[in-house]
Amino acid sequence: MPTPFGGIQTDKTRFILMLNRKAAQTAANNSESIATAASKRLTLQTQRILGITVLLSQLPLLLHLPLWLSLPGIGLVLAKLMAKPKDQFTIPPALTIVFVLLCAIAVFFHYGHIFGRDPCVAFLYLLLGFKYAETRRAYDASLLIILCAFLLLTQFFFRQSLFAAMLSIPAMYFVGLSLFALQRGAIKTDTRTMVHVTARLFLQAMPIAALLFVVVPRISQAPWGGNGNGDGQAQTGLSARMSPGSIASLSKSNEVAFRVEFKDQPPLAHERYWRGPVLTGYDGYDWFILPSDKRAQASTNSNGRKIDYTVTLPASYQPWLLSLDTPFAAPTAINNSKLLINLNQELQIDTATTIDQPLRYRATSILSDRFTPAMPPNTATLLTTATNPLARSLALEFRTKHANDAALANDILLWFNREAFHYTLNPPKLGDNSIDDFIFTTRRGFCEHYAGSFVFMLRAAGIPARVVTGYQGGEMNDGYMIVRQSDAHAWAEAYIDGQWRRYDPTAAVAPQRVEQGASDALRNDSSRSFLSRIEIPLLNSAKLQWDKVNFAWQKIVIDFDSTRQQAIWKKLGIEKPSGWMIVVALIAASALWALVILKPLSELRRNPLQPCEKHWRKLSSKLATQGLVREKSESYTSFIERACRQWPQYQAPLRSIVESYHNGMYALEGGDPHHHQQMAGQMKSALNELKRMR
Amino acid sequence: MPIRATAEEYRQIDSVVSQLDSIVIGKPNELKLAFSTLLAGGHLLVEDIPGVGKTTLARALAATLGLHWNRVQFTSDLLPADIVGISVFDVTKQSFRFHEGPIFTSLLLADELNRAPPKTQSALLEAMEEHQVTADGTSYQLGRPFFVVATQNPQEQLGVYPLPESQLDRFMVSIELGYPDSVSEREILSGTDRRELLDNAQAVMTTDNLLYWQAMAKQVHTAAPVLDYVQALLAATRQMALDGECGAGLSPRAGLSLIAMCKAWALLHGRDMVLPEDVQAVFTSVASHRMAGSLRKGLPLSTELINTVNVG
Repeated sequence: MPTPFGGIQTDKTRFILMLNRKAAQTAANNSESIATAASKRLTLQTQRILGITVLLSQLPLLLHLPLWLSLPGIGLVLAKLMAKPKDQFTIPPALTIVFVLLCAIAVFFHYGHIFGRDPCVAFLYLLLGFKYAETRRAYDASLLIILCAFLLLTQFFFRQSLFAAMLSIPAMYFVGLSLFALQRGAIKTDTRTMVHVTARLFLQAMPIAALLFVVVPRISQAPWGGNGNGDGQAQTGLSARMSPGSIASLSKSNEVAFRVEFKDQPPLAHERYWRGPVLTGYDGYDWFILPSDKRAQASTNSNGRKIDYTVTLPASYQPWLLSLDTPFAAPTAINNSKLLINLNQELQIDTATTIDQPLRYRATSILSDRFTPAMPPNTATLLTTATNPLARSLALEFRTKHANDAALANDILLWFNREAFHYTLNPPKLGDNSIDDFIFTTRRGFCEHYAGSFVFMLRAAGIPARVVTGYQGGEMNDGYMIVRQSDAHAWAEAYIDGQWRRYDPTAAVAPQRVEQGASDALRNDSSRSFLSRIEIPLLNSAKLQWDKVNFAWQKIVIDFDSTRQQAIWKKLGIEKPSGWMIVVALIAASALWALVILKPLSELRRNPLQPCEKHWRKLSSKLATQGLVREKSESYTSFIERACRQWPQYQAPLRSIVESYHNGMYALEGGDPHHHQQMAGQMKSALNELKRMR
Repeated sequence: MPIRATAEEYRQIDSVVSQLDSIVIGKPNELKLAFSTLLAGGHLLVEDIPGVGKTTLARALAATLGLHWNRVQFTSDLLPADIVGISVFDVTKQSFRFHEGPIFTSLLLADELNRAPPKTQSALLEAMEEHQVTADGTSYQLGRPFFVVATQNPQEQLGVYPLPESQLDRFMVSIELGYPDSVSEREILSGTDRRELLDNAQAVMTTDNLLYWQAMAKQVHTAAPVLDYVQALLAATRQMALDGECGAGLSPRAGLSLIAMCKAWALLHGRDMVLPEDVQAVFTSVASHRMAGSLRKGLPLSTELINTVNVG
């Protein structure tokens, strides 16, 4: 008689013995794994998560730190992260001290000092790399995580843009993840759950973060003192001096100089002259601001349209503001009530301190190319140097031709237009007599060349004149105007017939500069990079959209200062909140938050509802609405069989649900979260088939 | 890593069940319970009047599983030595030789267990528990598997020594066959002689197979919710005993028996996990005789528990 198991019969008996041995082995393994978790060495996975956290925290600073410093910092982390677990490299502690000292010295030599924003951040950045390289135990790791969080903050010392905020989100998430991984301990939560729970915690923390953002009193000054340009970093923008080529170099930057919202109709393209520093001083080469503390009298000129607008100016680190055309009065700052703003006699808007925080101000201007000053110009507006004899003689030639100042000025413009001048971003170098060189030899120049030579010639002809720098142009983007550094411009003002009149000699050479903007006027200029010469409409509109989002970020988040904070309190009926009141409000709000979020969580902890159980309850309530309820003492199978009798057309999904449920809840594999999830997934898809059950 | 039986192998169990069904007509549930008891390594107590097929059941099991079997008719004058065996003096070898009794078998049918005096009963019960017998100070191991099917007459009849509750605990399961329903009875009456069927029955399994399945039954997984349910049932029996509705609550040993039975029952149904319905299927047969001293008295109580205790 053949045995049912055939040849494997003896194997089966051997196997019975094996079963027992295996059970013993498994028990031994379990106790071993608990032992390793209890000792505080970090697991490889935790170390990797930490490594990614450090990398992500370092990443935003790459934009702000010198390369020689940022690359080793990242390299230290990468070297450890990439190394195989066996040959994990370690720097001996003694050597670490030497390296750190070297770093400190290097940072000192790079920045010239050690106490300041940049060197401190740079040093912390490097130290973090070292700390990660030597991190072995949970204690080190928690310190590392705190440092990561702080380093992440430091990027906002440099820039508070939306992009910076977005860069910090993944790092923040990983900070949470590594905290979780660190606390995981002996109970091995699987990675999937860890990732999910961290994400959930992250989302749950959002309302608290938003609340803290609104409620916690603002610090109006940057923590490192806030005077001056950080640590003297070069900033793009207009400066107090103008030399040939300075605006041309500025023109190559596509950065946003400022944004403007208009109350009514925005000005036309040729009216978009944004008045910045007025340069009266001349030393033969550079034009510069002459200090003037005389306040402007109320302007007597009121011909032309009056226009109200609000400017949002990023930190410029300069003590002046910009205004459209002819400012009517000193603008009022919206988000910084302490800032003293003054409209001086040259109609340049000065501020008492440099603008090191983004500033919003409301201003009123008159669209007019001329204005009558309260006082006649002083002699400084006639000052020339002994240089540039050719230009001077040319000016005198014009003077002999015209007795009328206006006609003279126009004739010079006409001359610029007639002669073979060329508008270019890339003018050749000029010698000592720069204006002579320019108007007689090279004849290639950018706006500052034309404005400078024009003013020089007017002065030589005895007409008071000065250079005005600022921006010309601006691009409308859905309700507001973007003015970029590339719109930087320089023009001339001449005092003729008791009025300061605007002359733009660049327009005489390249009229399209004023009508269409610098980029159109320079379309074929070889000095612009190839890429910036191509214009892709889709990319352009995407850029404008991005700018819109950035502008909103600026207005809503960055500009949220103590004034606006107070406005919120006022709306709640509290004039000036005391510290106590803020604390009480915070506690009340947190309690509310805890009620909403924490309670379900604690319930979850008491009685963790597994996914399969959740789906089963969904089915139960679905069947209950149809009138079918499981008796408390009824088994799931017989309940489902009853349901199958009631809805024979749904037998298949119903049976599949109970089978997956049993597999998830009762089978040995059900203890494996992955398998459990899979079963829950099957239940879910079977439940979907029951959607239209009636 | 648990080892899984293949579907092919499970088919062997199905063929055992179907062959049993073909011999003992109309009692599929009782047959499965009996087979499960064997898989769970327990012993079976059949409580019934004579003539309803108790012997047929035991013989069908033995024949189908290829087990050697013996039958002992218990009477009021039966002595322990009649079951265990006796030492006889071998004249040629000049020494005592142990003459093995009917208990040295794989399946022992102890007919009308409650007719024998307690001394004899306990000799059998010791063997059931310890898997060994002792005669003249020497222990003799019994083979494996060792499965006792004891039958018991309802105690209302005269001339019986009822088994005490502690002894009843040794039987993992008690079942009642009862009269067949009319369709089955007609088949019995009109069909082939059972005895002939039994004689012709072929073994579906070998002893090794049976041991394998017993090991597999131990591997069946009982998840936490099942254990919760079992504990709730155990607690309910104890509450019932406290309330004076039954003689005794279930002991932890009874709980172990219940779990073992559930596992075997699940295996019999081709599953490697115990479900609440398995517990429900075997609970009355495991609990009744323990709670009230006899299946008949205990059955309504255990059924009530099944109908009232919450599943998960």
